[in-house]
Amino acid sequence: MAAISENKQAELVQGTLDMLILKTLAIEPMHGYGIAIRIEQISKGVFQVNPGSLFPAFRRLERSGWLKCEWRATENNRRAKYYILTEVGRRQLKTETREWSRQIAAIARILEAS
Amino acid sequence: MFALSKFWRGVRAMFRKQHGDGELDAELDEELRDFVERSAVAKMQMGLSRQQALREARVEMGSMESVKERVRAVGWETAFHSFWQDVRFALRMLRKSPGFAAIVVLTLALGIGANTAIFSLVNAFYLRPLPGVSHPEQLATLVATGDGNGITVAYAEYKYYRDHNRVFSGLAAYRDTDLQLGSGGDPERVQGAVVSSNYFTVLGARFALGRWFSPEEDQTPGAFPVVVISYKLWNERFHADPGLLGKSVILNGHAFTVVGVAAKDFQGIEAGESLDIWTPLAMYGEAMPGVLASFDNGFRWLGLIGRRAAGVSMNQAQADMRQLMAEFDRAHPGEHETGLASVVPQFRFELDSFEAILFAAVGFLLLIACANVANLLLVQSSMRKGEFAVRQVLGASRGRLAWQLLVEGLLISLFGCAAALLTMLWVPHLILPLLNIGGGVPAVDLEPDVRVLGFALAISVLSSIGFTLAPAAQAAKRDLIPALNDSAAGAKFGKSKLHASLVIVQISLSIVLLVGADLLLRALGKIDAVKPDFETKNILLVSVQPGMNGYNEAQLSEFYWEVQQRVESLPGVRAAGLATDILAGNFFVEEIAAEGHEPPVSEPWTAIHYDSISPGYFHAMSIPILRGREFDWGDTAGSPKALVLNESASRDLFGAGIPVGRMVHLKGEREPREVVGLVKDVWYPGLWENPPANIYFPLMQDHPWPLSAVTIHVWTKGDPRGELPSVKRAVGSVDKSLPVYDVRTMNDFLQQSLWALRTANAVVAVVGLLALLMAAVGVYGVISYGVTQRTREIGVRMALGAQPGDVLRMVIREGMLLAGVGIVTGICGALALTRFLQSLLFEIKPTDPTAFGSVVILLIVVALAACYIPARRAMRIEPMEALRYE
Repeated sequence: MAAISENKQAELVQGTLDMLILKTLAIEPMHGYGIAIRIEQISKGVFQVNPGSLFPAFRRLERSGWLKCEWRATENNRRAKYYILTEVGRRQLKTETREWSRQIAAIARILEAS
Repeated sequence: MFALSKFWRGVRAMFRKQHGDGELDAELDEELRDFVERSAVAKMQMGLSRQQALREARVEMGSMESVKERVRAVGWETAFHSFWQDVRFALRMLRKSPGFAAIVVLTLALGIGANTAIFSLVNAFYLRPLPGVSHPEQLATLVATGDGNGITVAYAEYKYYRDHNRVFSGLAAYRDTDLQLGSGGDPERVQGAVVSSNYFTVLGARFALGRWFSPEEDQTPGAFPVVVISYKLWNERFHADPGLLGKSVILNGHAFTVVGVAAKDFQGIEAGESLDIWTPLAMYGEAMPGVLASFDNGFRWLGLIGRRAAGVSMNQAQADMRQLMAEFDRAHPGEHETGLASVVPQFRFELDSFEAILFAAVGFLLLIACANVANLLLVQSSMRKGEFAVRQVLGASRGRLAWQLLVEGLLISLFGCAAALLTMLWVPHLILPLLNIGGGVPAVDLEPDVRVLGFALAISVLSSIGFTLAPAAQAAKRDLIPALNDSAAGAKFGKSKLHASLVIVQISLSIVLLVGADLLLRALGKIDAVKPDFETKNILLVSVQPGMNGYNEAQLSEFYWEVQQRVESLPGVRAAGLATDILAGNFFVEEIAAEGHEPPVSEPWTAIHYDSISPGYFHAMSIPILRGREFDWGDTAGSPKALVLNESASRDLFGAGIPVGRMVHLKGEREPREVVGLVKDVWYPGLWENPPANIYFPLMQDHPWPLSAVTIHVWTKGDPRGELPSVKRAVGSVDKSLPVYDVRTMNDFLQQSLWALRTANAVVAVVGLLALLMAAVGVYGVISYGVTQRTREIGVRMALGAQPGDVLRMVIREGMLLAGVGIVTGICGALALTRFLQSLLFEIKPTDPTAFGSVVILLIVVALAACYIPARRAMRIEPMEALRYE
């Protein structure tokens, strides 16, 4: 898909999208677009998430029981689907974050060695 | 736990999908639209107009359908769901073109059906576990290493192996034999066996009634006349009388006590055989008179069957048996040499050349069918270019399109498979009579079972992969844009390598098959053209074996005379004669020499077939007596030894000289024999070669073997089979305990000698014609498609002045180019393969130019016809219309 942004973008590391979504939702429940934008903003545009991966990820996380969703009314009198982190999801985020930090630290050690 | 709950979620989701699919989809739709909306609003805040913002947001999203498809694809049940969708779609496609569907399904059904039919034969004879025997895979037998023929052993040997082996939980011995059952009225000839007392326990055969033999019943020759009979015999002859146990039956004129009835499904130890009576080995003297003088005789007459002990492999069993055999040989020097033996499974499949021909023929048919279906699918998928392009634009990946084609192919294949299996319900009943090579229809179960079903399914799936590969590869490769602005340009027949090569493959395969069929047909024609030079139409053959019921030589002579007189005096009979053989094909003397004419040492005499015949035999068989006389009833044991030669034997023994009155020496006979007559050679097609040298002995003079059966040759006035009851009565009036058996006409006998040739020819011819038909459809399909694709081009040519004739020639030229290449490769293939038919081809050479020539002409004609129809259509194209055609 043609990228619109001129910024240098990176492909998400396989499997990290789920973690980023969980992290985003740990702050507050959010709808799909909000999640995409939040990831883009916090990463300062490095990660741009396209809907083709985002929505299947929602479905996946929902099936795993880490997210649940509910429809909420929006400001312009419509409704939007909000995703909410479940208790299981919160625990999952913790383990994944821990695991991730461990790996990052390990990789950093390897790169710094020499 | 986790996996399980995941599974349940899947099942629930699947359930939801069946019912609430629309709702979920609608929610997703709404969610995605919301996403685009928000994205657009954000872009408007950055200064874009609403229209621009929406447009950009949509571009970022890409195909909404594609996103939805990916969301749906989360979870295993979705894969199943989409597969089901593909199946439904494929069904719709097939329904849309029923003609196409019918042709491809039928084509495949033929290919799959033919293969399954042949496989069901192999299954019935070799793969299906033998009924009535427990764990047949543990059973092993002994064959000669090398030729694989069964090895027989002497009784002492059997006992040694039985008692000393360390590899079998049981080792049994047996010998099949014919038996004459009954006395006084309705005697019957049955198949039976003498068996060691452990035979039934080694096989694990069960009993309907009674018991098996005890070891002591198998010790002293003749002491315990007991029998076990088959369930079939018990039902058919004894009306399932439960009181039969302990009663006696007459076998070969001796009373035997029935001690058991085998279970219904036990029929013997070879597929196709159906034994009726078993008696202990020790009853050899009564069951097979004249074969064995005593148990201590070194005659090797017993077949072995053993059950491997738990954990013993075939190789271990073989090593142990080889060691035992060597030990036995050392202990009995000079008695015999066994040679190397192998222990092999009792039930094993060996492909012989006849079966190989059948398999090759039907295998080719399936290949052609696949090529044909591939071609038709290719044509069809080219016509669906537009559809594929649209689906691709809507977000279907190329893999998905190829997968769709594969599903369609699989579906077609399964329909073909189903049609083929339906025919399997009656095809076996068509095949079985074909297997009647004289010994009756084999008792095998040809009903389709799991293995046949599995085989049919496997070849169906394999062929579906085979024939969808080409179209699927093409679909996956196709460029989107040219397909979308489809114009008639692009496709050119002859230029599409795939089409062309498929047609070429089809044509060459059908050439191979047709040349094979034609060669076999020519061989048959040649054989049918040469008639046997003796009476064949009205001859009835029935056999009788008085020796088995204990007749001595004097009784035999009287019996022969009596029977011949009574049969000859029947009103429907012209003449009758007795002979120990039919057309002297089975027995031969090893050494024979004309008196005063010692055979040169360097040139051993070839064996000469002999037949012992009664007076009147030559007359009954219409064999002309050229010189001297035939035998008469005066040629008895007391009179000078006599001999009749046929022309070939006379030539072998006396060259051009006149044989009558000369003397001949036979190996093992002290007195020379006088040649009293010379008769014409007998030749019939089943002999393949030149008429063999035959000599004839007078039946009344010396009985070559008291146990010999004689065949009564009855020359009847009318239908020979119609005379059977009266011939039976005539034999019964001499001895009512003697059954007549092997009833057939001389024509049956001669046909049986050509059985393999006729069957191979029928199969290859049918398969060849089907192949031709398929090749014709293939050529027609490809050329016709090409013409359709080139309508505009042809229109332009005609508008520029091309004549209809030019167009016709152009189309036909391209079609014939394909045919030409196919024909050339086919001829090469046929040249390479037909030599395997050599043994069946009689005097025809496997490279017979007329056979090749006629097949090539046939194919050219068919290819021309297949091209002509589309070519005519091309010729009639109206240039103006064609130019508008889009």
